[in-house]
Amino acid sequence: MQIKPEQLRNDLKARQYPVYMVCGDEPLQHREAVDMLRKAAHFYGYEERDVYHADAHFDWNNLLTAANELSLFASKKIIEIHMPTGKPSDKGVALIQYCENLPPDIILIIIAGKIEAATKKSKWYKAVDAVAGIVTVWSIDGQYLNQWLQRRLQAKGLSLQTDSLQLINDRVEGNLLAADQEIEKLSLLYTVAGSKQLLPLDYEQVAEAVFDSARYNLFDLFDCALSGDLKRASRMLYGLQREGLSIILIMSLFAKEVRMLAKMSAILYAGGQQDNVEVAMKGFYIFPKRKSLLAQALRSSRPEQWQQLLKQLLQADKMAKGAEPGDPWDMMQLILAAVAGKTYL
Amino acid sequence: MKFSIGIDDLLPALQSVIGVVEKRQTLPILSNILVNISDGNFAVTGTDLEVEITTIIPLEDTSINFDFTVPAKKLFDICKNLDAGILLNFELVDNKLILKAKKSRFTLITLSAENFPNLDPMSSSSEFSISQHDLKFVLDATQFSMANQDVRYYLNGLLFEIYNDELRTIATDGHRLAFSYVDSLTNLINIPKDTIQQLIVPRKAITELNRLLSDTDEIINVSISASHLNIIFKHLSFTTKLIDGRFPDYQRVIPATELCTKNIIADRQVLKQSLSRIAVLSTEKYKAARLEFKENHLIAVVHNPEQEEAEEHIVIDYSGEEFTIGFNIGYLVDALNAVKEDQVTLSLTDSNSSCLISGLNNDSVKYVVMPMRI
Repeated sequence: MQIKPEQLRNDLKARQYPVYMVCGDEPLQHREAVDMLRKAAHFYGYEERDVYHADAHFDWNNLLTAANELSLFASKKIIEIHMPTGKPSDKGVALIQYCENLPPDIILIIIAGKIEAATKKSKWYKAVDAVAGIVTVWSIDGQYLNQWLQRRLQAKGLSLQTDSLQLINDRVEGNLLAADQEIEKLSLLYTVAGSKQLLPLDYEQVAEAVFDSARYNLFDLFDCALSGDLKRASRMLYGLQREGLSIILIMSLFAKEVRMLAKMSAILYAGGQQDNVEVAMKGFYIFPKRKSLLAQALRSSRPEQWQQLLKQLLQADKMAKGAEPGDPWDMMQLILAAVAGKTYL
Repeated sequence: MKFSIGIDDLLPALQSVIGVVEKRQTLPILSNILVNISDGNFAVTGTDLEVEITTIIPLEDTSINFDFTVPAKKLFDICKNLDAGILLNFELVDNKLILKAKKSRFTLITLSAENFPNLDPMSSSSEFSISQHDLKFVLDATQFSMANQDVRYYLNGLLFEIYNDELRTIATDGHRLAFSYVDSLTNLINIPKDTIQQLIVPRKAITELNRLLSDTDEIINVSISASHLNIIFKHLSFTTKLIDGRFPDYQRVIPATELCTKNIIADRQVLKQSLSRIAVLSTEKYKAARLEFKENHLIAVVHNPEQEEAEEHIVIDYSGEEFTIGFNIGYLVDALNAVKEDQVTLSLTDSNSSCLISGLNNDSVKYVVMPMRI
């Protein structure tokens, strides 16, 4: 039975499953779900706790022994199995046996990583699914993150305008652990003890407190620039620089993309069929999600512009390697602007 | 800086301290032993920051005074392989120790004795004396039931309980429990009357202490402080830190014999050997055995995942209703090994509650084993 992370609290009040499985790879919600399960189990009188780490060498007989051996001191116990790979090393034989013959007075908590779609068809997963409450956590971003932030802030007695919410959203970019810290920090800084009313915070108060803790993805940078959002792209570049990422990596990725676009653009204009972007893109492997973005860029540009960009990239490359004076990161900013279409294009 | 010592004196001293020196170390100096010569005493100390053992050999020459530390394992291995009865010459030259014996010569690197971490001197609060034999008895009877690397850190040791002239030892890993006592403590100092004093001695200290004890009537002195336990032998001092924790209420889990509805008397050797035989077919991690108690008759059965099966029929003294119960066979064999009487009693109530095992008409050792679901 699937339980949504946000519904877990109420679900635990209503009923208890003999087995719980928490899976997914978003650390904050994962941790909170596991903590909540432990707390609930403790509340219901499960005092002992056995913890097992199911790595490749784990003997799954341990689970069966733990399940069947009675304890001298406590009648109810929690068994925790940490299974970060999301796949039991014995193909789930022990788990199937456990689930088919559930011991009373034991709550089993399987703490798994991401469960792959193929695994969900396996016998052990089905056996667990039949008796367990399964909590799957997903990463939260975009509009959903705003809602999520709003809920958490309200629980802390804070109320924020949409622009402040968006600020936190921008700064943490899907890093929920960081978002949680920011909320904690805001609540420590601004809430008044004992006050029951929601405390409204303005943009300045939030901006002052919130730290830029986003973790940027290198591969998003180019697409972000291409979509024309220069502001965000610049912030990403700055973030990557601060994280200590090598500029060579960024440049080589850009060079690869620009070269591909240059080729496609050349085909587009050589054929004289300026509107038939589909044809120009044929033969290049492009991730389906990116197709419309690239098509858009091709329609609004000319081959010379891509050639010009390649020259700039060459120049940045020389700067990075000391063959030419100048700061390659500054050059990269110019290139970003060019890609975003704000200056040269 | 020179002196000499007979290998027959040195080797036993090294043997006593070598056990505490861990193979892998966080601090290099912990793999060394401290040699301290002063006032005509040759003292060797080994420590792992938890347990410290010092042995003392009296020297004839009382004029030498110096100290150094030297790799314990190397020195011990050298001494172990030297001929008995020979004289070993020590010479300290520029941080190096030169050992000479007959035609052998070894040069070992030393570290300064100043950096050797001695345990803080303890201010003892209470003391008692006990014979080696009695202390060994209560350790042997219980130590195998201690937990090993359990998250409940207070179970990874042996509980000493002092009550008037009684010393009780209790060990448990949460599934079985061993209890034993002697009432032969003497020279009680600062031990309040009719008050129970509890201390938890770490697992490693128990193992080392048991190695030092022999089955003699020699009296040893035990002193206890809030955080340490110290035992003085004739030429040896043993100190250990204590585990700071609360041991579970063990008395609650030892069933009263009067309340047990099913009482069985069996021949210890016969039962132990039968169970050991069928244990062969159990798996290492899953040692469940099914015991069927019938009138004057016990059937013990073990299955394993390969579908192999072992069955034993054992004659016992039992006249109650028939019943079946599961046990971890390893726990039963451990308990039967530790009981010394020829006849043992097993007291049970039902298949979900614990089983009390003790020698017939002797309650100085008791074992409690929880059953398994089968």
